[in-house]
Amino acid sequence: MKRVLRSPALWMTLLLSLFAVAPFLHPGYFWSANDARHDVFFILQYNLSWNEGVLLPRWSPDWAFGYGYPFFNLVAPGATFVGTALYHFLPLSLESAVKGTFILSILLSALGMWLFVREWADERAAMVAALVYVYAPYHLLDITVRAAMGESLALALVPFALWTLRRLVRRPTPQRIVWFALSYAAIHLTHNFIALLSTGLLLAYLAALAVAQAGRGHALGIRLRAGFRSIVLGGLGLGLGLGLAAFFVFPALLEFQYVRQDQWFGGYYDFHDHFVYFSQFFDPRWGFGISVPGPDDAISFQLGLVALTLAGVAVWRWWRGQSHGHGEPGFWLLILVGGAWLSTAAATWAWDHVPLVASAQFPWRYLSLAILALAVLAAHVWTPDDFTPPHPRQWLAPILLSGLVILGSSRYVQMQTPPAPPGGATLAGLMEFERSANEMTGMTATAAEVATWSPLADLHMAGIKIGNQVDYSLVNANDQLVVDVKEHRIDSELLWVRALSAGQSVPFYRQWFPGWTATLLDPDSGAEIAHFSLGPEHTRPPYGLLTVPVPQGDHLLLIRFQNTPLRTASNVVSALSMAVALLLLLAARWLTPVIHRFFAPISD
Amino acid sequence: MSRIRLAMSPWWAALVLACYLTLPVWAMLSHPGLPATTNGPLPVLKLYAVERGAPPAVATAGERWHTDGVWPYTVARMAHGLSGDGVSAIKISIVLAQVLLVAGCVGWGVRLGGVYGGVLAAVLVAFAPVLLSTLYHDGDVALMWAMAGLAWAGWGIGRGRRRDAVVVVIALIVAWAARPGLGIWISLAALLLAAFYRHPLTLLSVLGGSLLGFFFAQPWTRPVLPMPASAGVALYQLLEPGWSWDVETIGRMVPANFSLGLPLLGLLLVGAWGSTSLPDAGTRPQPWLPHLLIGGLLTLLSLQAVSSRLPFIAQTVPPASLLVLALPFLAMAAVVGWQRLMPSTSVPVWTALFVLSILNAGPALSPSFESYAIPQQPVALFGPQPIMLLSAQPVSAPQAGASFTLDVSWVALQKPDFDYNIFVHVLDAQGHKVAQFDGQPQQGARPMTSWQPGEVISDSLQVPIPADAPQGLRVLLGVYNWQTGVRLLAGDKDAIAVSGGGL
Repeated sequence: MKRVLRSPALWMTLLLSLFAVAPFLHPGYFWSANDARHDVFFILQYNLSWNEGVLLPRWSPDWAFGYGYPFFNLVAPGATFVGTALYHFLPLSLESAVKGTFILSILLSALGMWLFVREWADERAAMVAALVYVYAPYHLLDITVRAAMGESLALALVPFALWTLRRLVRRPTPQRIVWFALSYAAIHLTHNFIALLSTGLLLAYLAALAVAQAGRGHALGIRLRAGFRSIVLGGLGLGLGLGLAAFFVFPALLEFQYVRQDQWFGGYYDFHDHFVYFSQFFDPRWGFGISVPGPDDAISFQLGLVALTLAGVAVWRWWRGQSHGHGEPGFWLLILVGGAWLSTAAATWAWDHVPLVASAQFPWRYLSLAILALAVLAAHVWTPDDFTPPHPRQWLAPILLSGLVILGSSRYVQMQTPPAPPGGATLAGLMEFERSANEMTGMTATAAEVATWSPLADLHMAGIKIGNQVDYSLVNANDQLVVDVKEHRIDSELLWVRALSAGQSVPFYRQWFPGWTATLLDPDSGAEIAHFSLGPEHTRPPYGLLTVPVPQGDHLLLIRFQNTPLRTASNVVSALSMAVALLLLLAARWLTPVIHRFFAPISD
Repeated sequence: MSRIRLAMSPWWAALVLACYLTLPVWAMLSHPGLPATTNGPLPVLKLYAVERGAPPAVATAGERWHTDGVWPYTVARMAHGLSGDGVSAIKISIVLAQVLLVAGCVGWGVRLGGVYGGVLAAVLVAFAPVLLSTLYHDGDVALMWAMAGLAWAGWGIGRGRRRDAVVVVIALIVAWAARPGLGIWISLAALLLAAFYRHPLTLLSVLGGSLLGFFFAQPWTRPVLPMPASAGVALYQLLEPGWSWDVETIGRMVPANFSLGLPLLGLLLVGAWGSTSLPDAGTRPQPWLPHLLIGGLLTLLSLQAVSSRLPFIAQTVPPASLLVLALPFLAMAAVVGWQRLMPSTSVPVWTALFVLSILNAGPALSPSFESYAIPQQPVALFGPQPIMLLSAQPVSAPQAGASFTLDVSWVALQKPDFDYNIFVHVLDAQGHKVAQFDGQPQQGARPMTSWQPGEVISDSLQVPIPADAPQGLRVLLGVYNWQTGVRLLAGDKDAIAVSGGGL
């Protein structure tokens, strides 16, 4: 690691990445970027939970005009976690916290790609590859136009996963299993789709590495064993990584059915309208709009002329037998073509029929694969012969190409910073945003209609802090029910209830989702009288808001958003995986010989 | 094994790389619709004309030197016959011309500067703004084919083998068959180049190819007509790196895109240094010099200051076309010069040169496209600076008490110099005017002086017809000068008739 940190090429890479960081140093905030307002409100919501001591919240209280939504139970919270940490611990505004997260993602992208390429190529090639990755137009689109915080950070993590996987397979140690698992888990916790994509990519890369390892032996048995060992090692890492992220992954997968799907995949989000046209891969136009049906999107889906040129020369050299890395350029060429293909209408059949392909939501998201492959291929422009004998003049080409990479994207390293919209980065701003853009009004499965406003939104607009989420308009109209709120938290509510007759229910301004429970307590002793989970039958139309039945008499009613058995089991899996990871790290000295006995290191 | 050897031959390997690197140039043509060029739908209309057995001319009956030859449209016709519409057929013809141009430049360049030199030459030519302007600003299919012919002729000239002589002959025939005026200049340039190499067979092939091309194109069958004045290139335009899709904005002429590309100019300078300052310079004949001289001469003749004094240039080609013809010669000179200066250039440095040349294209790789119906032939051409009525479709028959609507689309083949009015007259059986529309296109939103050449202007003209109008109404459509009242002629008529069901 010391050798890496002393490398001038690494520091040069990070310095040259600063041009991509520059727009974030601009005063103001890119409010008009696609998801820029989302990002601010993600952190705003996450921070509310942090303030109540919940570090990994699943429920967000203010989406859907205050009815709440299990956002972080379904959408990977990693990037928001980082942004919230910046906001919480540094003297930053919400907007600056978002910017800080993007800056981090840019620098991590450069670092990750540099480390990955440096693993098998010269550090000058690594510098160019890292800069190609940072300045890839789709990467810049993700950052400055789409403001896709989670996706950007996850894309920065993918090269780390590739790097750690490669190191693990070639020279296994217990620590390397953990590092790979951690990087893989981090992707899962940062972006759902990139996690899915990178799982496929890592499996494919593992297979390619296994084939490469198998090619090193002479006897068939040795070759098969070498390949099999690589698979086992990678599988161990993947399994441990999945285990570490289990607390998020499994609830997100299995409880997604309890929210309205049409809001995620219907209407504007119909993928058939968002395929990339072939000409768009090469069109250097830039834009700050959105993806629209047809070939004339207001944003750019170009792959980048510089990156395409570098990758083309690299593949050409490989085809002519001049490249190092054996079949590796071929592998990345397949990834490039596959990623580009999946983003076009030529892949409609796959989108319609192959499971999980459509989870990308927008076909052009597969360009993530393409830019990753382009960056790696760019490093293959060099062969070992290009650096022999060593000579300072050999820095000329990397520096020249680095400059051209930056020059090629210089028009895209920009940001629009209009004035803040009404409400800015406040809850009132969130309400305005939901009303004007029909965004973040996610409803759960019991909602027959999508909310367009709420009484809670009125309070937010007036700047009044929400003191409870009981629907007093219904309570006050009911002369058989008296309710007094004792305690109000983001994910719970404690009430004193007097029901003068049987069959009464307490109505809440909270959306239903698995995990909501009700507990009836004795008002005097506090003893539990009854405890039950709230299901779809405990909701009222049209928004599927909670309505909790209470028996006749005086009670304390406590409703809470708790873990379901699935979430509890997932948490346990994560905890056990964490323990295994710690064990691997702490007992590395004793475990290394054991691992080497089964998985002999491969010398480069 | 033979296939493998073929795959590894320098030309083949360089061709693969050059075709890939120049992909961004023609990949844009996969965009739906036709590039919005100053020629507008003319290439497609010319294709339809060729398919009818007529010469590829729309606005005129054909001119001796300036009118396109049949070759570009014959290729398109073959593509049209296979499948697709006329627009796709024209695009296929352009792509083929582009690929052949690249292939020719690669062969030419590989011979002079090795594999990477050949690729660089092709990239320098393909991404030169002046060539991209030909493709995406002017939509000049014939010039693209003539360039392909020139590139293959240039490749064949240097070697003096029999099969190369055949290549030269075919290439020159293609150049003549693309446009006879261009054929003259390409033949002259080829002759100069062949004179440098002094291969008798090469000289013979150039002469033979030129003669065959001349007889194939049959320019003597068409009259010499006065062509619209076409300015040459201003010196500053050669160096100006900017790019504009406009022809003219209000009150200001926007310079056309005549830049050869800064990378090419830079490499030429570096190459000149390399070819003149090295110790062995001048001790042996260098291919650098003739390429530079021929390219320089063509460039010189394209300049406004020169071409305006030599009227035979404008009689045969628009002077700016000579600049396009100069392009491959200059690219070869640049590559040869660079190779002499830096004989051991590493692949990454070559790659940087490719990138530099490609990046130079900039916004020229973002053409706009338009999708509209193109009829087999235009409805009418009004005036001497033709304003083409591409289509005119009545929504319904003219009826008393109803509003008569006529959907029209116009194309100006040259920039209109006046805001002409459009009229629609509804006449009774006796020729008495019953109702009329007189006004500017798109209700004044797009007066004709705002039209760009080639731009399709769609309009919906509405004429309210009185309730007491008689039966048997007919409609006339025309264009007139609202200051003088003089109508623009469409052929020998001052208006065209529109019947209830069509024209």
